[in-house]
Amino acid sequence: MIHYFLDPILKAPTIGCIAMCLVCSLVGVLIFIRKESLLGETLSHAAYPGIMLAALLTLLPSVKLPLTLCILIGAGLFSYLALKLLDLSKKRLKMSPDSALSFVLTLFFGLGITVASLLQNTYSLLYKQALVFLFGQAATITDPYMYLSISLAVLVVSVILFFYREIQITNFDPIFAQTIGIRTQRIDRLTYLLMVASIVIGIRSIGLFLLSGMFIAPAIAARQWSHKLHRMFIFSGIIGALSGFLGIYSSFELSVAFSKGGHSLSFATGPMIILTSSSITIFSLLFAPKQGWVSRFLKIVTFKFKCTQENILKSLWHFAQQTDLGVAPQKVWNYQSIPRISSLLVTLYLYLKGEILRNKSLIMLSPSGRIKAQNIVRLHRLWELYLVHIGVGKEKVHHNAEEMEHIITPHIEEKLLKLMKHPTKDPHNQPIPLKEPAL
Amino acid sequence: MILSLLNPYSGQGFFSFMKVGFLRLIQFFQGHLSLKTLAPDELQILVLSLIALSSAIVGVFLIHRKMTMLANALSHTVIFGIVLTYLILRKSFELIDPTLSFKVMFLASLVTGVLTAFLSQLISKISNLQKDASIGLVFTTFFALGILLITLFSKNSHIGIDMIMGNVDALHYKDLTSIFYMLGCNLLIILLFMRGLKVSTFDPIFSKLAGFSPTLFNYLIVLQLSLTAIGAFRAIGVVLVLSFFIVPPLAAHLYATSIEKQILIASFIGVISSYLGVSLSRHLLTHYGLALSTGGLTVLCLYAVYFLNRLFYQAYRGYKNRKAKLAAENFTFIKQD
Repeated sequence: MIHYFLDPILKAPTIGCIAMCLVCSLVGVLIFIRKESLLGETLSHAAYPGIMLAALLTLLPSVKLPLTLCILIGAGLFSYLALKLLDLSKKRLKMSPDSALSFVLTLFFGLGITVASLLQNTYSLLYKQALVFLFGQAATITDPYMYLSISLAVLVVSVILFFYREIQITNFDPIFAQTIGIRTQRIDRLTYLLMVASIVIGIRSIGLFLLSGMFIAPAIAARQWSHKLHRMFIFSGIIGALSGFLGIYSSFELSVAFSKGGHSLSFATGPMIILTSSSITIFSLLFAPKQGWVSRFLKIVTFKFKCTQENILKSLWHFAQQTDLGVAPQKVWNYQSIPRISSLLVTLYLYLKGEILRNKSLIMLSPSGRIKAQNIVRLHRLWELYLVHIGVGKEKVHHNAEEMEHIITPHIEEKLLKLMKHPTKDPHNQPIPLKEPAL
Repeated sequence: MILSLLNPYSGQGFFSFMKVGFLRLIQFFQGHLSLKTLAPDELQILVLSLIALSSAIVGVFLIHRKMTMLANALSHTVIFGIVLTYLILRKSFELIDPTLSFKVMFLASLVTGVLTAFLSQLISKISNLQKDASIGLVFTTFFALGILLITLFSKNSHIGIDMIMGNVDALHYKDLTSIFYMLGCNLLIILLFMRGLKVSTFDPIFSKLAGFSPTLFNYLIVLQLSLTAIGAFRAIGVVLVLSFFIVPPLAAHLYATSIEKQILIASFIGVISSYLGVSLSRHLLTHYGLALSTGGLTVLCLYAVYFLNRLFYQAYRGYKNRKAKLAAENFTFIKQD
């Protein structure tokens, strides 16, 4: 992997891609917190006519700039123009933000297609050169371009570091920002300028059709791992840079691996980068520690498991009040509101844990299980008493206590005991069992 | 050369285009011409107009439901559906292949369209994300997959361009049938479900109470959307069809007082712009030798109509305001007397 950074041919594409993806993902966080994630889509597509017109302009004898530079300037100019038009159509033409985005997008895209068809039909060689910017071609990135993107990356990172405080306050509380003297409009303009700059740099490696993905996915992924803005920037930058590298790595390696037999397969870099960052994002959506789907699902399942355990122990305790002989498991399970099979499994688990004893086909509580069950009943009755204490009717307290008995912590229990002055009877005139130390 | 000899419109300017068209229309009604002898230009106008009609129906609802960026997302993911269908039914990887049946493409687009809408809703709901962000995540992923597949399985790495941008000039007589189907489906849906669509658009809570599930109608719109996108992708590409969805309804929004009127005015604007686009393209080719994309020109015409319309509307409003002011002044004057 290291040779990607050392090899004279691979060095420029690799480092260039990483720098571009880093920039895009950092700016992505900015537009993510502004809730304008699809802005990247419109602005990057708007660069299309700019690219084509700039390519046309290089035909003029008076234009002495190289093609790439011309195209970059054109792309930036048209992205900026789109930004202005977006503002105009929201304010003057009174469109909803959603309509305005697609309105501007298709206007510029239609213009781009018209100019492109002219270029394609008359100067097809030039058209082929300009196409690089539509779908991206990381492999042909040269050293000067690499330095350009590195310097832009440095610029963006330093701007974000320098204005971090202002950016944070402006985006989360614009009115407060204005009262403490921050010029919010300048910060907004700065954000948009960074956006245009990152589009200009990014189209070379990913291409303008796919670039918007780089603004969206890393920011979403970063959001899953942290709530703090500065951490979001750091995570997003890391994810962006990582997917830039992995994208170009997998693109090269896969192309080599699949090209052995006579025919060659080329895995384009742009899509590979986007797919990498999307996969990282999907992974984050699933497995992030706090917000991930899997971890949230596991949390729910473990809580349900705990509730079922406690319910089974509790029902066994109630049966134990009537008879010492134990009870048929089916009788206990009839009280559970979950499928039979889960009850069976939970009972088995409790048996293995030693909280339930078996007497032929009957089951009963072991001493340690009895203490646990007593505690649950205690909490249940304490909570009922508390509810009556604060004025809830006697007949209404049972269902709420059924839920609370699984949640009350020892700390709350102590407070309740103190509040109720160590009671012995619950509202239904049944004894509240005493707390016994665990065996 | 033979083609240009056969086409009665070659060498015509903007106004003579109209004249030739009119003469041919008379011939058509007299029974001298049949549908099979359509000139390419006429075919283009017809196809674009039919697309405009279909997308006016869908577009009006998209605007009011603020779903146009979802439409943009769908139009991108449809590419993935098409590419996948080609891969599954691959005989030879010719992308513009008229033999691929409309039914298969229709199915593929429906599946990808509904999948996109469903996934983006799911992600935004479960992970508590902004809708924009989840839409963006889903469609860029699918789109990247689509482009990757195109570049992998076709030797030409830039072949995706034809899909994204369409090619009106490569239209075939057979395309008319699929576009007629598409319009028929859209009309049928709108006739059957107009009430539900309207209610669920403007008052989702009431619509839930009244028994029209907003989610169900949301997917109905998604269905229409992917249907229309697939019908249009050969002619104007998947991105430009978006402009047919939004620009005519936005222009009609200024005048319309009801959904039906908005649909009618939007279709009218779409059809006019299609005609203007095709004839403008012919004019530029004849007099300046510029061969421009007819699809692109049509879209530019749509925008020109929109902005002209806007100017006219503002002038009209100004005139009305002045008149009202004058009347008010006269009124106070009389009162003082």
